[in-house]
Amino acid sequence: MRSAQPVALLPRESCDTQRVSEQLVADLGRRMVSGDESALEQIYAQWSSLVYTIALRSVRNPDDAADITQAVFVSAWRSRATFDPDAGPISAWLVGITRRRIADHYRAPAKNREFATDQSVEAPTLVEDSESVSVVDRVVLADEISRLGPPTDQVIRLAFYSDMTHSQIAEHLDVPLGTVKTQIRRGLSKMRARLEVTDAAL
Amino acid sequence: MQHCDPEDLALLALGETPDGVDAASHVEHCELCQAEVRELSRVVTIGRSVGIDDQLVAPPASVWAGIKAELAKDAPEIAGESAAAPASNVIPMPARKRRSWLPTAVAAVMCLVLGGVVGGVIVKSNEGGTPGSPVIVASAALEPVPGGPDPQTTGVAKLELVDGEYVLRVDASGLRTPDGFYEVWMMDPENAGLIAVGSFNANQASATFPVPAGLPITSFNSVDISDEPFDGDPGHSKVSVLRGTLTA
Repeated sequence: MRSAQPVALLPRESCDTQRVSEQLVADLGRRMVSGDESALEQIYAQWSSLVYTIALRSVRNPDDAADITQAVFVSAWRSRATFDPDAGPISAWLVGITRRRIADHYRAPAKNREFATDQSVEAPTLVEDSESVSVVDRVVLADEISRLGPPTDQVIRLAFYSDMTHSQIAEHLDVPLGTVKTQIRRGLSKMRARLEVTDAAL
Repeated sequence: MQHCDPEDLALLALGETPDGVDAASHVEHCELCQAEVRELSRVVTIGRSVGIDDQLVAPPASVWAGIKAELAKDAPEIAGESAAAPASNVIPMPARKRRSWLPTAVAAVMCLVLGGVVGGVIVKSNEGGTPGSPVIVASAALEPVPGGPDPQTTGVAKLELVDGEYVLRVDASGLRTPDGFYEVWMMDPENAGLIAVGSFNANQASATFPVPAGLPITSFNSVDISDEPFDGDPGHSKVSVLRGTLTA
């Protein structure tokens, strides 16, 4: 994959693209609620990797993770009437369903009983196992970083995983210092917002 | 009291010392800025703990097939509901297809028109749909870029969904022979993001390109075809020939 940032090439639109893309995602939710099957396929294309990876990291078995992923999207479709676009984005709603299907998975076979705390048996929406919560946070952030898109994702990856300071990153990418600072701020803010809505959908 | 620049707070969260000498000492005494740094630090801590294991993995293709098979059992109910209460922007599926889990393209009336870039909105229902046939999610009229090298040619780009994955179809006949070669890009106009999806031969009328899984297609909604010299530089030549914005 090749990427570059010829800023001069791109017209700066006056229209707020972020708002527009939120509207597109919100529209997916509305279409799903109204029974539009193609919306589910688009939702699957956008978020099946997120669901599958959370399941895989939680249950550590590809077959079980595939079963959980299937169950999540089947549940999502069947309970689509419960999706409230005003309460949060589809991704957070799906992560909530994923947590419940993972809890179901742990409750089902007796040999795995130790994973299910008393609390989660009574309230399957709240998986209290701290490890599984952090798995969700980590995978959700990995997903959000990949959705930041270039060049923000590249700047964030360098800031997180290299020893470079922001001025070294600017030098490395040959972009102005201010651009790197703006991208770092933008990336962190988007990631924080993503964690907030995901936690809110618990 | 003058609060810290938000960008400096982000740097503090990363463990850096911003250039503004006063930032760190201000934060020591300001609860508001402290709280901001604390929240961003949590993001940094979780982000830095993301291991190779946490990188996203796509589920096997059998999962989508399983979902379709499972939901096919619900089909009569689904058909009943969508017939009873179609959303205003949904084209009801033809009756003969209601029982199958056939995705149908939808005319989303949303207007994504950006700046003067867009030529028009084309949405087609998947009338001739057969299992596995693509669903057109969004399309863009590709118009000559003002001042570009080929002011006469036009084209169409379509974002299609095939078995749960996005592909970009580009139709552009009549392109002149390029100086180098044509490259197709998806752009995020807001953030100056740019991704090359593949090269396009002038003598082929149509080509499809896989869209990288996880690409935020709602932001990377602009399609650009550039004339690239054979100079080994993987970046955009800044010689755009056609461009358009994908709209649902």
